Amino acid sequence: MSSQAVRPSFPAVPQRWSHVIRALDPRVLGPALLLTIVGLLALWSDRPAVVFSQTKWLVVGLAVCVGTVIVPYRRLLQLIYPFYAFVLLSLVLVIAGLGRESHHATRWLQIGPIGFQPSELAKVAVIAVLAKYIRFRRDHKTVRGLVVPFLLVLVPLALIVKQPDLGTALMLVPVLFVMLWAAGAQTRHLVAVVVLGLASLPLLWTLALEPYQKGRVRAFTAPLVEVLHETGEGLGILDPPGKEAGPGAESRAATLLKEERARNARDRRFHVERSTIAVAAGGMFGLGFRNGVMNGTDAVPESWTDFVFTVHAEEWGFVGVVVLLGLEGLLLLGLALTANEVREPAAKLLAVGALTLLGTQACVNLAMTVGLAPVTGLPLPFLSYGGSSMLSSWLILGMALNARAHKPLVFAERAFD
Amino acid sequence: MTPARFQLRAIVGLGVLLVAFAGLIVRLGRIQLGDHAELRRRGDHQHATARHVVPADRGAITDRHGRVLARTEQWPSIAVDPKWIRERDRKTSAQPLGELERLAQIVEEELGIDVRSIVTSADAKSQFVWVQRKIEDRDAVERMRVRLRKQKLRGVIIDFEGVRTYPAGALAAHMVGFTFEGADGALRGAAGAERLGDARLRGRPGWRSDERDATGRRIVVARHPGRAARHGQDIRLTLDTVIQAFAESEADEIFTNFDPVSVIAAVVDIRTGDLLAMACRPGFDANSRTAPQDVRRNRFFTDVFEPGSTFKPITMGIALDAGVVTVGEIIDTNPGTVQIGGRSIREDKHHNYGELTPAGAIAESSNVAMAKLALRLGVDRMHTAVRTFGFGAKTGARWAGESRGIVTPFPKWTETYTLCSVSFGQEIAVTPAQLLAAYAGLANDGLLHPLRVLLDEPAPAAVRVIRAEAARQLAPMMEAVFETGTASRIATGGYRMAGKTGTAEQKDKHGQSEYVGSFACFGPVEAPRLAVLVVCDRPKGSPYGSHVAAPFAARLLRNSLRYLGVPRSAPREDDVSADSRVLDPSPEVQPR
Repeated sequence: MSSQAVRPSFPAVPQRWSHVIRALDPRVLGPALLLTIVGLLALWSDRPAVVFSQTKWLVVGLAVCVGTVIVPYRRLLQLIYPFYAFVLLSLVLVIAGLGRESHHATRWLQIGPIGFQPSELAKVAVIAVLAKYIRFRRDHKTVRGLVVPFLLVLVPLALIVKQPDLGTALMLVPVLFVMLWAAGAQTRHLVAVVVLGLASLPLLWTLALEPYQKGRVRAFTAPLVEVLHETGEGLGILDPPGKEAGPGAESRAATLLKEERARNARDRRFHVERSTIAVAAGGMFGLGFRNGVMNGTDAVPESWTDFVFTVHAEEWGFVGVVVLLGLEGLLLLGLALTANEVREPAAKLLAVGALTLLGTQACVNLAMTVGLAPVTGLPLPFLSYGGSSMLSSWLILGMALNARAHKPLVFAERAFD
Repeated sequence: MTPARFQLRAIVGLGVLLVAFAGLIVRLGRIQLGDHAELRRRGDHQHATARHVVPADRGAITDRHGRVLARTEQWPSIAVDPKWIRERDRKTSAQPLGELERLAQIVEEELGIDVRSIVTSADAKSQFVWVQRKIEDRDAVERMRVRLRKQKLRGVIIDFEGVRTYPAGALAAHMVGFTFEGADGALRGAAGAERLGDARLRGRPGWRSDERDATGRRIVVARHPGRAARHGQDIRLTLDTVIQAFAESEADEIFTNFDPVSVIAAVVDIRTGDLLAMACRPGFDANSRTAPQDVRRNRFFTDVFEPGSTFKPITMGIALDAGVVTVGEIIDTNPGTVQIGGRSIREDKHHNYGELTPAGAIAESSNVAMAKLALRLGVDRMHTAVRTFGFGAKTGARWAGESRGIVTPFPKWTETYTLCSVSFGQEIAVTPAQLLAAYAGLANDGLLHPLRVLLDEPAPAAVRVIRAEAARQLAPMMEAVFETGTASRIATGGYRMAGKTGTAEQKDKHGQSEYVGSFACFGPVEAPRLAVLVVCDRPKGSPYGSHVAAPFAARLLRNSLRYLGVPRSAPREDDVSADSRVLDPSPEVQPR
């Protein structure tokens, strides 16, 4: 550590390991670990082949979590802008065509032997960068001060939307609002932004969007009920691009596109129905571990990743579902307590961000499984199969726990006063 | 921002999440607990669009040695996918022969069926139309399949369906019975062993669902939902096809020679009650679906007749059992009639047999002697004994449609009429099954084993009908029938046989006399094994049991005993009639 250091510096490792151990808060880690085990059980039932891989990722995730706790968060936050830039670059690379395509969307980036989803890292980056940025500021209490935080979130959000991965992208919005709100932003400002945003939608709709984009959005937002009533041919959700070429000149490509899109919409509807039926099959006590009839089949597509809850609900029934939601609740409560206990603003914000992200994502995932939300590719944190998701979830948890391990050496200003 | 304010906001934020979670719980509760049944139903009806029954193969019916009498074979059925064929045909329309034409030619050449019109007239969306089901010529279907595959022609679907076949044809057709197609398409036993063993033969059909997603693509879900079919079990009958063949040939011969309304020839193993053979004429080929119901009826169990004289050994057995007659006793039948309560009972053809031993009474078939014995027994004992023999009740075979026969209800029995008439086999109607079982009981030292048809079922308890000593006294009396009595000129092939002829007279609705000739026998007398009954209903010409039934019954018994390897009886020193036995209808079967 050089004496010319202009910034206050912190030790790279904690001076007392007991802090680290204390930071591994069972109120947070307990539910998270139990949730992971519940997820592993569901995977074991549905796709035994991936259990080992998932366990491997769990170990890596735990290591990352502990590793994150060891390094003081202030150190980590010092590196946050380069990290944020790296994530943005990755997202750009993915869109630029260097990504790997899967499920009609490009979300993967391969660097050497490591393949990862930049959008998952973006979640971590956004929480951290917001915590770092807002930390000692007060100007987010003004409208002008909201601009930078909004930009920090909206830029990666736009890039993720472009992939397209609307589900993950939209997860960032509540994170932004809640963190700002927790940091003391004026409620009326945030409400105004929301209202403005909603109000501008029709304007955007008519002015900014191309017809095919409208179609996409409509296909996405079309209430399921409406889709459910559609049968057979064209769903009427699109104006085929070929139509502009002139009456009766609907090109073959346009027809194909139309069919393709109609099929996508029907697949989506089919997906939710299948999963709802599987959930219903669980009844009160479920069909029993490894007895789910949908196991190992494509009866519910993606039942080991985004729809892993279906497997759980089928096998463990309503009782199992309540237990799972209880664990989620305990996890969020643990994070909330952490946020309440720490005094340093960045730490508070990290905990709040983690809470918001994990909570919202779990809610939206479950809602999607039971047909309350449109189907988008969104994993259930800690349960769904997938390395990137597992890793980012534990990373986020680690950041939140970090705050407890490394109390400020100097009294910081009282947060957000 | 004060900590209190932060806490407030945290609480509000958590509250929002809590509400969301509560919403999820409510939704999940409604799905899992409330809408449960509704959604399951939807699951079945919307996606499992077709719930196909996977038929269970019906078990085979075999004789006691495992020779197959009925089985289920897989016969090909063919169908076409008109949608596919039409699409392919359009794409190949440039070629000299479109796919439809090439395909149709092959099908026509091999099976002689024109599928062109089926394909062209099918509904636009139709993807499955049966062309012909259950084709017997499997080779032709296989040739067609190979040719189609070689030419890469698709759109013809070959599926295999179970077909019930009866390899033995008419042999034991009445016993094997037949099936009908139930509402679910599965075969059910309609009659005979098919019905008797239906529960075991049937198995349990499975099912599978062809699920279709919203676009109509079929998804075959590997594990859900569905259930494998549990195939039916085989059942073994007590029949022995060889003995059955003997019985069939005797029945055939009687049927052709005397042109009766019906013939029954049956063999039972007296030691177990196992029915070894039951041939019935008129017969039918079990594979034919067109035989009239009347012909399919198993008369052995369903039809009743007045047994007449064949009933006399039973009366004698009862009398011996009760001790009202002794072997050496002389029964005076002079003058060939007897007055009982104002009723005159006389012998057949106004004979007067004079003084008769009990053996003579059986051999000469004396009505008067029987009536006198019956009077000694009295109504009470006679009725009880007749019921003990199983008359008036179903045999243990549990045969569908089995008749109980007719035994006058006890309060209506009169000494003058019922008692005396029953003693020589009138005013009582029996099924051939009851009569044969009764004879088997007499033969088996008075221990009657109820008739059995299914080999693997536990045998019902045997019934003691008369004491063993009485039975042993009775057998020589019945043997005398072959020696000096009504069947004295019938070849017994070296076996000591005991039997009794019967010729029952009935009036038809025009007052004309009709006769049922019958003969029941068992052998060998020294150690009885088999009992045989032949009933010839309303033969043309001479109706006597000694003529239309006895020679055939004796030959059936003889052949069956020889087939079973039963040693011939040692010749008796007093047997002088061996050379004079000329009524043997044909040479003996060659020993195996």
